Amino acid sequence: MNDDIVILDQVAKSYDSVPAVRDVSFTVRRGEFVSLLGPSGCGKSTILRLIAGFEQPDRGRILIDGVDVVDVPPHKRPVNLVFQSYALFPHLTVFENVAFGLRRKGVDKAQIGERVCRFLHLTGLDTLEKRFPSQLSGGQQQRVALARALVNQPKVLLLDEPLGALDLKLRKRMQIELKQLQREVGISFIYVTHDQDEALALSDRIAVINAGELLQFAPGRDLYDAPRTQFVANFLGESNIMHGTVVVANGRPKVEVAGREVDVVIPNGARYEPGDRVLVSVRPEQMALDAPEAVNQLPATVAEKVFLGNAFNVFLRIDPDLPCLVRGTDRAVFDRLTPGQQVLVSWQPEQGRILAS
Amino acid sequence: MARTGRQSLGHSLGEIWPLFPGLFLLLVVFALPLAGMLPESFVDADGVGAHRYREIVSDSYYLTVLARSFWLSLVATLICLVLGYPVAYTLVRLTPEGWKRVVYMIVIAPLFTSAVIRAMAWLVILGRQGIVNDALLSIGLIDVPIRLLYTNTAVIIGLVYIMIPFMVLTIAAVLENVNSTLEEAARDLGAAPLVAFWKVTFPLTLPGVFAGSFLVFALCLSSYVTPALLGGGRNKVVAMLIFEQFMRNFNWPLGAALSCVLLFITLLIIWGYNRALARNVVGGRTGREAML
Repeated sequence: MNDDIVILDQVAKSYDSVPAVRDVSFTVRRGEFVSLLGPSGCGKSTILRLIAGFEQPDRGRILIDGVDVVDVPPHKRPVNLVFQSYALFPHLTVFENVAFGLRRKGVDKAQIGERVCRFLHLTGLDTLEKRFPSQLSGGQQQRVALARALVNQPKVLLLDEPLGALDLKLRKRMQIELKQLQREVGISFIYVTHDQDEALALSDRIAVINAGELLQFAPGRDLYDAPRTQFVANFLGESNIMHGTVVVANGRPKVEVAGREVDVVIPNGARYEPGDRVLVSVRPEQMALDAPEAVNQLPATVAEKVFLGNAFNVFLRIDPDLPCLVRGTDRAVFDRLTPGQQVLVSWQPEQGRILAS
Repeated sequence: MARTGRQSLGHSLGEIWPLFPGLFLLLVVFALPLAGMLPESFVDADGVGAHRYREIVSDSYYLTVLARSFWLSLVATLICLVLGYPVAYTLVRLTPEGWKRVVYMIVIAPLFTSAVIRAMAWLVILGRQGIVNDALLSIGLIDVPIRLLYTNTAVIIGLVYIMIPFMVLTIAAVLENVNSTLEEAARDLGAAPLVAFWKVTFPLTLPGVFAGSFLVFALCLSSYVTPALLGGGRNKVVAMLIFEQFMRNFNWPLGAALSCVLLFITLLIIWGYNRALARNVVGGRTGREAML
């Protein structure tokens, strides 16, 4: 219990009776980097604003370091939010922006100077303290926003798509810096993003959210390898999702896909009866072409092939209404393929997963 | 930055031609008559001289009227600011959009009626048998009607009522551009709601506060109808004095001299204001810039 810095317990929030957050529960541990990942409008920013105190939950509890904060106004919560638009104060210098929180707390002057300088240094802004926000680049503004929040040493730092406004190269660099910064300050981060790569690159754990619902909360690797639902399988990376029917062969459950029986992994605790309609998910890079010794084999026709640089995509049709994507790196295989050609697609039984519908 | 480039006067003709129609109009209907007034104030049947100005400066009557004009305008402006700012603030943050438009219309609506009609309305309200006195009498707060009309208070009430839309609209225009997220950010950093407003939103709206105050002050100073109707003959303001000299006494040189004094003092105040504003740098953007 003491290890959990933030606990959301059955938190729900509606706007004009349209639910934005539906009974969401999760915990964030001390020093953990958690991402809330989902498409725009899925409620992830609302969850962040609920934790920051800018929205009131309709029901449920929000605990920060063991204290229920639902009735605590934003300026008294031990959290800080890095806004998507940075929300830097345009009439204050970089130094005064960063010092804003400390001044409100009545920290004495000498200490303000020292702490502000330390965090400006930490974010690489040493020489810019006298500038105004309008005189900074996007990346620099981003850092000021970070320093301004972190200098208050919040128990949790909330970040609302903080890298969304930066171009791709800068974003990649800031991702690494952010990760290092988080390790250095040791503060828990809750990071809202719609970018799966960003979530995977940064997070200890990722909460996948759709339509106000928390679908799965696990380390990125587990989410990728073992998505529980179709949405998670599609949102985190790409997936071939095939309709099938459960059958029993040799005393073991199998799934019949496109007229062939395939071996699959059944999620823990799930029980299926013969005849159940299910979805089987296989990652494109875990599928192989023309591997005769493989267990699960399906005949398919090559529709198109695309060269990507470090890999290639082959678009196939197993059935007219069952497309399939295979990603590979073996150029000899790629060169051999021509559209219209018949091939065998295959995958290892442990790579095929049944999804909860 | 683009901003610094725009501050220089080295514009090409192509950039500044849209200025010309307005500039031409101002020149013909404003600057030229004004320029004509200056010599007028120095010349009369007796010859050329500054004795009109000497008369104004040495006569306590003129000085009192001038002082009263400035004082009334200042008080009315400050009241407009104190009453208008909260209205502008609420108006700008109002949701949904539909309500915002309704309130905007309510603020603007009085401007569709002439100032004379609106001042007359206050005659009804403030008179001896007016609504205010009736109400005070009926609840027993007073025994005999109190004198409200034809006082400085009546003039200030009238001016505030007439001018407040200008203050609200000017401040609202600036507030629209101050992102409400900034106030949230301040709250997130530990500022109570009022502190967040005072430390973030208010400083950012100073250009609007200055512009609105200026506009209202200038309009108050030059207003004629409201002080004439609500102030009566005893509480003259400088605009009434000038009107009298031109239209009743036909003392054009004195009227011109009074106008020039008024203009000079007003320009002095504008200059002082601008100096103060220039020092008040708002995020590398001065209030003056936002105003001009």
